[in-house]
Amino acid sequence: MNTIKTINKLLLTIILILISSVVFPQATLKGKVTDKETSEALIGTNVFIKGTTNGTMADINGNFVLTGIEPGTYELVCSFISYTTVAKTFTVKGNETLVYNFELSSSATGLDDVVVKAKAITNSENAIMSIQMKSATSVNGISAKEMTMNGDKTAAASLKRVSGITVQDGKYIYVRGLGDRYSRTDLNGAMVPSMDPEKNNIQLDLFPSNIVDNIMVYKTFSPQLPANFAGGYVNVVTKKFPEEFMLNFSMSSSYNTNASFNKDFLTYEGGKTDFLGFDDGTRAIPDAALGNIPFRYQDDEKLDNITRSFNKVMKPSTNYAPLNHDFKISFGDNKKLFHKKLGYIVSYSYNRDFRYYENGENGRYSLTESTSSILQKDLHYTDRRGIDYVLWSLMASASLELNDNSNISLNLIRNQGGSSVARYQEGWNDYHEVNVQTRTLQYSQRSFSAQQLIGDHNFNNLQISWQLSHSVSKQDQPDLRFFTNIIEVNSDNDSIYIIDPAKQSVPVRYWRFMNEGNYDAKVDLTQTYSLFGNDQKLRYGLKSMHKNRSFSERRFDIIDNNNSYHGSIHNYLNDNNIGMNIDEYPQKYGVYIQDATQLSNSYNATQNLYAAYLFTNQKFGNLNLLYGLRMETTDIFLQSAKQDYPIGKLQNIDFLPALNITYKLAKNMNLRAAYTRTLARPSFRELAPYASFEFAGDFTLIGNENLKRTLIDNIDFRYEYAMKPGELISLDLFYKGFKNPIERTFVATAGNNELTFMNSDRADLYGIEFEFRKNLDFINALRNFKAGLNMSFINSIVNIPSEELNVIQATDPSAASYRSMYGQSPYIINAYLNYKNEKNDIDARIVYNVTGRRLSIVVQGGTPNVYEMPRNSMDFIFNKGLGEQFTLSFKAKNLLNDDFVKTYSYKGKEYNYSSYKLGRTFSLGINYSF
Amino acid sequence: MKKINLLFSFAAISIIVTALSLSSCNKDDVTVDPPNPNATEYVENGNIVTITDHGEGTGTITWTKDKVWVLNHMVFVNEGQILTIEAGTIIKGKAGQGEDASALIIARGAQVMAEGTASEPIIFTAEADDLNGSVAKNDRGLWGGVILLGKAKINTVPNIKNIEGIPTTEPRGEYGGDDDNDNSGVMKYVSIRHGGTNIGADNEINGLTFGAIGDGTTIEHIEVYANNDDGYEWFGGTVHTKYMISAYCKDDGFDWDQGYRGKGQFWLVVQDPEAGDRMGELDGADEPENGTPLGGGTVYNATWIGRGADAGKKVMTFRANGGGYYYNSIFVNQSKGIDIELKGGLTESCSYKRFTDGELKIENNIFYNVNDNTNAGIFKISAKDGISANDEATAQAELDSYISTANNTVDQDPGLTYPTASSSDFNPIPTGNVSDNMASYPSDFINVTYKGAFDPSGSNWANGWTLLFK
Repeated sequence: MNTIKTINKLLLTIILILISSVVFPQATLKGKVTDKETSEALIGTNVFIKGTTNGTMADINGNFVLTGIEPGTYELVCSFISYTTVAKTFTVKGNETLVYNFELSSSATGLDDVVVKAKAITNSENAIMSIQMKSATSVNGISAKEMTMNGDKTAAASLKRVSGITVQDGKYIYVRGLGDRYSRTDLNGAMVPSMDPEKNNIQLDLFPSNIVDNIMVYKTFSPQLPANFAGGYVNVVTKKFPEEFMLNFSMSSSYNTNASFNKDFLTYEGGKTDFLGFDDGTRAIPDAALGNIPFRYQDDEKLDNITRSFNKVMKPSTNYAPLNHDFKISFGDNKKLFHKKLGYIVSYSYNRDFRYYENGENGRYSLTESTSSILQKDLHYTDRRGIDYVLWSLMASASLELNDNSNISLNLIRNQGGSSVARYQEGWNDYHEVNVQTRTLQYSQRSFSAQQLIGDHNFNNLQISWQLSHSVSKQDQPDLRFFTNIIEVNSDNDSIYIIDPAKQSVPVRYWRFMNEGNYDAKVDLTQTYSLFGNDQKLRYGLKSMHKNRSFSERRFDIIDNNNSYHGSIHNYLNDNNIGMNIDEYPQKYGVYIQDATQLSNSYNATQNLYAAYLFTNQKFGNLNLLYGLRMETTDIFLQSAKQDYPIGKLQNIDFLPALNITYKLAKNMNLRAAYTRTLARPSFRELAPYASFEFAGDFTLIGNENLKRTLIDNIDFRYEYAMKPGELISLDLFYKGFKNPIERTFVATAGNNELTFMNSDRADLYGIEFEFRKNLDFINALRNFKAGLNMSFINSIVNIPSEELNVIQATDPSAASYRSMYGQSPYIINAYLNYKNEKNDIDARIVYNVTGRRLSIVVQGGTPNVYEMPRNSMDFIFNKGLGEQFTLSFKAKNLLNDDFVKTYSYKGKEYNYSSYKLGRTFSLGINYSF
Repeated sequence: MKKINLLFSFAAISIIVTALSLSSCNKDDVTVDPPNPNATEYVENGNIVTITDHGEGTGTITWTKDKVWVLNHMVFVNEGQILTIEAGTIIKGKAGQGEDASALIIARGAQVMAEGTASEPIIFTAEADDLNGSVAKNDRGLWGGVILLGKAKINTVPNIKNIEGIPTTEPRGEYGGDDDNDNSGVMKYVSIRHGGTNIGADNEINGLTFGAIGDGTTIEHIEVYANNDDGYEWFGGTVHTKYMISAYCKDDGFDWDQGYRGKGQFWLVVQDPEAGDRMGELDGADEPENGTPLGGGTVYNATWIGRGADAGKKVMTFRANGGGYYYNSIFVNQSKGIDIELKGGLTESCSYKRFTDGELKIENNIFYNVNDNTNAGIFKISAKDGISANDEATAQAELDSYISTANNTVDQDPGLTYPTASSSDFNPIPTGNVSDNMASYPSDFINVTYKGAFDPSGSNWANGWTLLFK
């Protein structure tokens, strides 16, 4: 039991000994490289001592360190693609640390300011590509400038531009077809809590692009990274302070062809603070209903009071939706405080979107036997939905340079998102042979706050960076209101309304609360040593991650024994139709509330992870080797609020090796190979052996406390060639073997649709990825154009658990015994074409994205599973500079307006599970920067 | 120096932690065994005994009539246990839903011996019911219901399932097996009232549920009154039942599925004029629909009274490859008749195919005030998606031709009194002629000379022990 703790202590001791180990007596040279005009860090700049092999590249902050310099006079050369190379002479006398900062000018400085701005954009993209080329592992990234250029509002929207990445539900990333469990996102290198009870990962739509400096996607593991990923590890890095005062303000308005000014937009009466992304208490559980709720006949007077205390709005109303709008402001500066350099940046953004569709459809189909030529229709509803979506974010970040070798920074982030959904579905339920009308009113508020303290210290041949991070997330769904009824027309042509609990749910009010807290601490050390005449790096560190979650829910059913719903929800919930207030009392008793809360669904969970790693990065001529080991311990514990229920537990100690080999074929050309082992842990929800029923959906979801974690062997090859600044061609081949992958499956013995999670014995995934970025200036007519394309083709095979397969094959004996992994797309394609006219200060881009069909819903029995279908999306963005400080932007998004479709396919025919269109959006904005 | 200190302190801490854990082990040796957390609680308070089952079930026990037995949540009779309930015993279910729903569940391999009598019935009702009018007659869903689970055959894959509503993590909720002669005990003169709460996954529980109950079980003289779902539902099995009443239930009267093959005689349904769906929902299978053994019960002497001409409800529906046989029965006062599902094609597995195979028969019955009192208005093919108009017409013609020789009457009043929205007057005993043209009885049935559940000239078997005739 104590093994994990003992090993941790032991490791800590070893690390402490290493930290204090002997320091070699040689000089160190360090500094920072920035863009002269924009003060942005020039990531990936080459810094080397002329006539020696001693060289390095600037890191993501523009910092570089050269060690092991013996006494003498040298010339230090600092070069970066598309910038003028700078050289500086310096003299080393003995054991000392020298500091040189470089400000590089764009090589195009002869032209006017406009050009410089344009160059800055290219260079940011170049910087990311430069990191990609020089990294010891396979990395892709996207810079803030590129996000702006693509017109993406959030980190989620930008990430889908990165090679091999798809974004699900607009929030969750899939890297190389691997979802939530296999792709992990950190904020500035620290684990952050989830906002969805069913997911591990963070919701990337909660991070507006204006607080993001860059996002890096690591597709191969190296030991300093958290080991629980297989698809990719995404690190969202927030903005750094500027070198001089800066102020940036922008605002835009958008017209959506479905929602804006549409008088049929569905909404409902919310609170006064909805526009701020949280509820003001309008949707709180009524005070009267907070305590114990008597059942019928126990205390009818009290019960009546409770029933009356609920808000009576249970159906959507219609109202004009205004234009979508957003604004952003950020400012920052660099000051002296007690003779120390203090930089800060403050950034705020606000965004409000209205989304609407009215011709959506929902269908449910089933396969009754394999000889059937069609899928049988179980229901078909039309679907209308209005969403009012608010997101704001406040970030403040400060950094203090203690001395030339040390700095400490503090990041504070607060994000808030609220969405108010009003939905109306109507149609034929063929199974019950009735017409159904369903209304859903749903509010969700998400908040995220993080405090991060980060330190970097450089000594002669030792770099220490540490981080303490605390974050809290909350997701509440207050007062989800669900009201469904049957409508029939009798022989007299009168409408008859029925609420029939035997066929459907009674009207329901539902509350859900989730809080999650994270504590994350780490220390990373990099030591330089000499071997075979080269500077080599030894890196080691420790990390501890603690996460806790509390989840609870309340549900109230509205009961009526008198069939008193006659088409008006207002009359039905009216006080004079409640309990003892009805005329027929005491022969009959009116509408009343019944506590339907399932205590077992509420749970508390904790996860404690400790990690230690050690690896080295060695160069032998053109060969760069990275190899080492990471150890991670897992301790997950989860308990239902109902004591009789089983406990979810997972404890492991894992050793995870990594080997990355990079061979430099030419100056701009790499060949890489890697073998790594990583893991994937079940989420709290998957491990919680408690049921949650989707009363608006079709199934019960139940966790499995016996889940094991998945081990993954990853093999990667990459060829990459940076032809010119900003131009790249790369090709990846990869294979992943999963032991005990966790897959969704249905419970074969269940009387009702019930889904759970099981460890399949194994799964295999392999794929190919291709990326290409090229200026089209080799054709004169296209000299202002640049094109980019990335494509991934992935195949995965996972065996269907035998219990599930028996059921499937009972209906369809020819059904395959395997399928693709949950959520994995067979292909992902991104493309863009950029036009830039420096003379007219015009920058325009057209962006295209498509993702192949992927498994979306595991359907009970032999009926085919539901897949999300490919959707072509195309956006156009046009920016025009107006003088030095203003930029005008025009965006046209979702130009193709393809349907969002999920289907069953059977014998070559598609049957829609759901389908809707969101309309095109045109926006006009202005940006001011000082 | 500092390093060494650190090392020391880690070592010291390790030793202390180890020592503490060892010493706590020693303490465990001397403490007494903790109380069994799975033991069932029987808490007595006056003559009220509240039962809470934490896993060990009721045990082999007799519930006596001098006490009121209150079910707190789901109470199981576990495998190997026999629950005997004395005649005249009252069992009440606590209010609550989902995991808090009260229900009595006779698990696979367990038995219930509930032998009431006409003068001393066994009554299951809500805790709030004082049996003297404290609960309104139409109140439904005040507690759960009774579930019998056994080892007879069902036609699903896998052939052992978890009964709907009970969490799949509860192994005592399983039913199904290979023993069609399985014996789950005896239930006689039992009245089950005001139940049908949601017991999980938005499933309202039936008054009496039969999961794979074998024909070794005895079920007769049962009343389900004002249940919030079906009166009775069979999932497979072979159990025979007689003298069964489903009164004022929210959904169907009699519902069978998953290969039910039992026999029934003297089945009464009376629907609330303002609530209730079909009187018979007669499914064959669900996963897969061509699963075997094929389902279909045989019923003689049913009397089914519907909701009236305006309610839009059906007498019965044969679907999902369901078949079965109805003879010498009376079906009245419903706006729609009998639907036979045609799905996939004329020769695909479906209820229509069961009909053409001679496994679905409706003969020698009386229909009255059903739709327009014509054969064409009562007997219909219900064609599903993908069936051509031509095939539908062929099937309807085939059915029409059978019905013309099936000896049903559709326009002769058997003389029953139906409840209406404004009057609860009700009498299922015929005043008209119900004795012409009788189908003969096979050996398992009681040979009577009248149609329907009640003898026009004899005594009423439902008198005395039911709420319906109180």
